[in-house]
Amino acid sequence: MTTLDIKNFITDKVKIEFIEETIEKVKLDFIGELDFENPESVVFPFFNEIHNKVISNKVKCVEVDFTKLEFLNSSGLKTLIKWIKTDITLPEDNRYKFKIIATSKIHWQENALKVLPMLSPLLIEIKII
Amino acid sequence: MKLQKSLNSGFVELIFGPRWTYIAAVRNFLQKFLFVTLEDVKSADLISMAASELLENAIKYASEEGTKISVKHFKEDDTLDLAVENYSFSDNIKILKEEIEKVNIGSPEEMYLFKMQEAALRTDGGSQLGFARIRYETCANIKLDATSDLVKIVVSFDLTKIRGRK
Ligand SMILES: Nc1ncnc2c1ncn2[C@@H]1O[C@H](COP(=O)(O)OP(=O)(O)O)[C@@H](O)[C@H]1O
Ligand SMILES: [Mg+2]
Repeated sequence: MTTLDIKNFITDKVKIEFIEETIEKVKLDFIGELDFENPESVVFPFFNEIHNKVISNKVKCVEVDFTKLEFLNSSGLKTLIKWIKTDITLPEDNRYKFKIIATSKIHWQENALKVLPMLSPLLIEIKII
Repeated sequence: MKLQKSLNSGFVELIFGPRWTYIAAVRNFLQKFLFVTLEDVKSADLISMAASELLENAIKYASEEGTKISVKHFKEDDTLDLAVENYSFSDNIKILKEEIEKVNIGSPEEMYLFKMQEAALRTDGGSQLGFARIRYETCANIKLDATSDLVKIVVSFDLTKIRGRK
């Protein structure tokens, strides 16, 4: 068991919680509505902290579960893409996998997220439930 | 004044000041209203997503007070027009024109993917992903009507297409 020692991200509209923190996998649940005016300065630092600790702990997979995320604006989506990009541009040995869980019940999810694996088909996987 | 009773389709018009917290309120109201009007949760979800993106822009790029959103459902044609209006600066309106022209050419999926790649490289607050997202997720037609500093963006949805799309 490893622990990244990062606090959950909690505001009145959105929660990003650590569900699992092992050497194999770090799992995050996204709950609520992520619609900040400037997510670049609000949530990107959180993603970046996870990124750095995932690398230093040599965690090999990050699972992001969106099935409880009712809304994500395009600038929030951009910060997620930015996180993914910082991973896929690392030297090969340091890279980790992204596993995205989405739901077809929340209708923006399938279309907005299913193209993400095209950024790097070997590292990014999406499961729509 | 007479109440328009002949409407058998939904119609909404809201006017408010450019404040960020209105966006979620309007998005969630529209989602519920459209679900009742259209009896289809997918259309309600996707149209309220598009409304939310347009309202974010109308607030982020406003040059003065006043944001107006309207939704008109044309039952006979099974289409819906969503329009958002705001005042803006000429520099922004120029970018806006170019952006709308850009997203309207080529395949919506290719453009969305291209914009995603570009977004990751941007260091300013913007993503320039909003219009590409609307077009890709909803197959809608996006039109701009700008006269001097007043911007009106009209997004037309083909509801048959939305319901049928996997
Ligand atoms: N309502 C608007 N009024 C003025 N300019 C706008 C408006 N909407 C969009 N724009 C311009 O068009 C660009 C593209 O918008 P969009 O694709 O939503 O990306 P973003 O909001 O992330 O910048 C914006 O950066 C802005 O310059
Ligand atoms: Mg936008």
